[in-house]
Amino acid sequence: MDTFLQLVVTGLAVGATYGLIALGFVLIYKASGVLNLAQGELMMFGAYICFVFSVQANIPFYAAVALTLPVALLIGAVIERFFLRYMIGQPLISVIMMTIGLMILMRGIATWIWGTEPKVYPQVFPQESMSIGSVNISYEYLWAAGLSIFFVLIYIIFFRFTKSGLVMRATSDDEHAALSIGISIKKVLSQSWAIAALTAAVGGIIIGALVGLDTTSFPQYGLKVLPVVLLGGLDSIPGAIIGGILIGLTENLVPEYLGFLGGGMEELAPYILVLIVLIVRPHGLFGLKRIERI
Amino acid sequence: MGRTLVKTLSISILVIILMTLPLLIACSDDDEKTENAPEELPDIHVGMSALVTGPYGAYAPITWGYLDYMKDLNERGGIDGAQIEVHWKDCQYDVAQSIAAYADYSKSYDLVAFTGMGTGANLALAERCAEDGIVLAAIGGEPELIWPAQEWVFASSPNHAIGALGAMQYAMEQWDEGRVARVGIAYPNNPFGQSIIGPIEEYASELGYEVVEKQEFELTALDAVSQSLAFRDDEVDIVYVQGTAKSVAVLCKDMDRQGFIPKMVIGPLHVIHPAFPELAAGTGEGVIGWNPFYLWPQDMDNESVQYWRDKALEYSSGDIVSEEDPYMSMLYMWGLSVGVLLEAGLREAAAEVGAANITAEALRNALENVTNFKTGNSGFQPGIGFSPSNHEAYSATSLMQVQDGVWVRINNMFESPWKFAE
Amino acid sequence: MRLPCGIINKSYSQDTAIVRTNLQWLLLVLALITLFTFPYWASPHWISVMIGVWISIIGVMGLTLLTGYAGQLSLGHMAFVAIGAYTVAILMSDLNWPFWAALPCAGMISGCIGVIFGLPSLRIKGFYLVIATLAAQFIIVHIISRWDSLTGGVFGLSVPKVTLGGFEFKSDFSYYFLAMIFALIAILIAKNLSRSRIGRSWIAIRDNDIAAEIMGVDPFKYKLLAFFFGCFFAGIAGGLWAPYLRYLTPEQFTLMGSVWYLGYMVIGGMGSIMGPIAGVIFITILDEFTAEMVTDLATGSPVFAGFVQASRYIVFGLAIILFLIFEPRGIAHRWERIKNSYRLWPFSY
Repeated sequence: MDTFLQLVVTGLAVGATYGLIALGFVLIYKASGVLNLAQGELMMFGAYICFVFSVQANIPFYAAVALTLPVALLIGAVIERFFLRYMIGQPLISVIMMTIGLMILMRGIATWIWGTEPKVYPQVFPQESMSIGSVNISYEYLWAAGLSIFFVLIYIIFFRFTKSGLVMRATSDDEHAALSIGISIKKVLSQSWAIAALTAAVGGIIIGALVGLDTTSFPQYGLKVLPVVLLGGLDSIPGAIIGGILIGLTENLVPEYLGFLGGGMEELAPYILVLIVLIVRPHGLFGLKRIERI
Repeated sequence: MGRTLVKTLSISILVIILMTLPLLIACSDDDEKTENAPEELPDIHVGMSALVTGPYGAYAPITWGYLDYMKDLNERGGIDGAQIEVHWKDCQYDVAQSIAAYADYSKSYDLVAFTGMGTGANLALAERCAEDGIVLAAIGGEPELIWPAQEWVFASSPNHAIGALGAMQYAMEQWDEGRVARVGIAYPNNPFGQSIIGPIEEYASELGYEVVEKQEFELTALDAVSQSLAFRDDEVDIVYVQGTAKSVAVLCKDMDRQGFIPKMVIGPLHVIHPAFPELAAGTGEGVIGWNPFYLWPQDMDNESVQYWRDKALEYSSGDIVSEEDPYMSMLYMWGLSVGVLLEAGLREAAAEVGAANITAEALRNALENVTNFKTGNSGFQPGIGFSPSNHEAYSATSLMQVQDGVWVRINNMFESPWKFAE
Repeated sequence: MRLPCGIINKSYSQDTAIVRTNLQWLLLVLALITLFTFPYWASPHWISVMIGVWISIIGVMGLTLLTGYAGQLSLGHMAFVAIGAYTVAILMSDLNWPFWAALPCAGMISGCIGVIFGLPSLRIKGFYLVIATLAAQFIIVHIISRWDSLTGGVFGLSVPKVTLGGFEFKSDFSYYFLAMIFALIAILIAKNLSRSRIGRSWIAIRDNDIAAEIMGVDPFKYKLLAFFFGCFFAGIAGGLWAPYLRYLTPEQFTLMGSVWYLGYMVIGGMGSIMGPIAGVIFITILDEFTAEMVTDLATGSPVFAGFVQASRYIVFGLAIILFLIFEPRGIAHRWERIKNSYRLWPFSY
């Protein structure tokens, strides 16, 4: 029972971080209807920019994070302006391919600037862990979970109650209709990419603080959450969080309790789950069901 | 409409130029190669499917080490005056690209040896090399490649089994609890990870420990709580982690958080990275890594280490050695070791048949006659030698340990208990 | 296809012929002569590169049928290539089947497994389908790397050589012809499939599947057919890879491989048969060029050492991005426009 509780608590905490990454996918999809496969690379850029400020420029860590955020916003806006802007009105696959092109280009730029050697932040979160009964939970994970939940709340408020948020949702729903009522799509897209890049940067910094930085393994965290984003529904913020937590839980619980099915089931479990869910509910658990017309 | 035509035509021309440019450049390169003036002695051709870019780009120093050794060998006068020409191409750890490079070089030049990167590529190349009669000078790694000894495959440095068992032997020497030590293994599901499980289990009774737990552990995992709990529940004394600096650090941190401190944590040579103590944030203290080379900055009193540090600085413009970065030369030395293997074989072959007549066949036969080859420049590893039943350059390793946040050498080279089946 | 003045369709068979004018016949014959004599005058390097090109063309042709024609986006095509490769390897080494019997089997098995993963396509579309195919990529490669007794696990297995009568396809020289002939057959089959009833139904489903259903096209049947043919071609491509590489490990069939297949198709131009051919050739040449560039940069001036490691990523990323910005419909479309403007010049309107 102790083991089970411990695994659940860890799964929840790590899952919250995955949820934050998943949120990046959802944000861009909600505003522009694009599945951004370069999410992992956006995370990597955020994490490395924070590394530049905190280690290379010797700025205190929290100040460095504060400096990273505007840079990340700028990167998001630049990517939208110079790459995704040309993709308005293009077929789905071209847009996906554009994000793949970005993914490869960004990996190249990061490798060029920062090399392939692993890098480390200064000690960010305290290494000690807190004990609640028999369960140990480290402050690192608590911080990660707390930050993730904080951002999720902000986004829920943003999309539900602010004008920009509503405008973004309208644009994602129907670009042409949005245009016809006087919404500047370009502005909306630019904003959404900037915000998504910012989210990704926060996710990247958290992961960097947990396991360190290197240019080769970051992209995999982005792809890891992809199935659960779809599980929740591409346009559902709570879906992303629940999906993220789900993947955190499977990663921790599956090897312990389904280990008899063979090793590595934790990598497969999300995909099998998402396949089953998608066959029953084609738009994910919380996704918006679209009514198609000819 | 006229403007449209101009635009169409200009974009068309741009696309055509984009398409033909690579072709033109590729062709012009071929011309350059034929312009080389003939020299007195024929060049000795060796090939390499290198690894510089791509997802495994972190292993690029292996390629730089190999190339630097060849450059240095040529500057020292080559093999009795015959220069060595290295043909290499970046293959990104990719089997198909490696095979294309091999097919190209083996047909275009009279290759005597080829070096591949990555397990998959080496296994695929081994068969082709055997068919064409070209020596595959492999970088030591997976025991599957050289055990049993294949006719044309030679490994330049100890494989993972040798290192792992050397480290286990050391661990058992330190063991004084008066009971059988309980060993846990964490490994990723790839050739790198699986190659050590068999040997560690096989030598359990001989060295006096038992393997009680095996856990899969991805190299990119964010946490290792379930692995830590499994090790804790099984009361593991010694944890052997087949991982990289990053993944071992994650495991160390999570074991620490669970309040579980094993008597010993051992990792492969990949762990010996200057960033590891920092990555593990204090929990990496006492972690042991095996490595088959003398390195900088720890072994600067070793003349050859000093020599190669200067050479790396001269050849590689600060990417391998930089003053502010405490770069550790593990991968670079790995590449150098292939150079040592080739030099040993070529010198022996030159002594047997003369530098002008070295063929792949002569190199292969000569390699099997090499015993304890060691020069001033190869002092970063023990003397190397081969026999018809043993194609591994040497089977010694040494150990390093994290002490006060830095890697410290804890012993010199010693023979690993791993024995080849005759 | 727009034809020059004076070409009149007198019969149905004339109307449906692929090659119409004398110029086209001339070009076709010249192209075939070039292709068949290629190994005699090209360097060994380019022969081995071309083998890769031919095999990739078969695989990408399958993806073109599945994605370009039927509109079912797949991010797991490499997994089906893996199934084909492993089927051929296992049948040839364990059961001693000849290559010629193992290859169709590889296609069929790959196609059937493709249909299984295509089943969700009835209900899910677009990005959601991407995940179903992504699941195929992960599940299939996972099974291959864990089924040690059959596939050799992570250490892989070696593949026997292809023989015909007493002849062994051992050298690149002979394998070139093997790969090329299969690729040409594949191109022909794909071309004809795309203009048959099946192909037209695929296009209808791609453009709007509800409209297609109303017109009497059974979307379920044709979507599954698309998955079958797409994966069949992938299986054949895998079956040709296996004896060429001689050694298979699961590492060879990565997600990035699947992504590259999509890249070939998009850069070449979706929804045309010329597209994948142009895309594969263009990217392969670019790849060779960047590999050469790495060698030159690293041996030439060490100043670029940091850039060298990133160079291939940067060149590739830029190539894809620039293509999508300047020619989103691919090389094939550009080629058509060049032909048209040449044909209509100087009075293009």
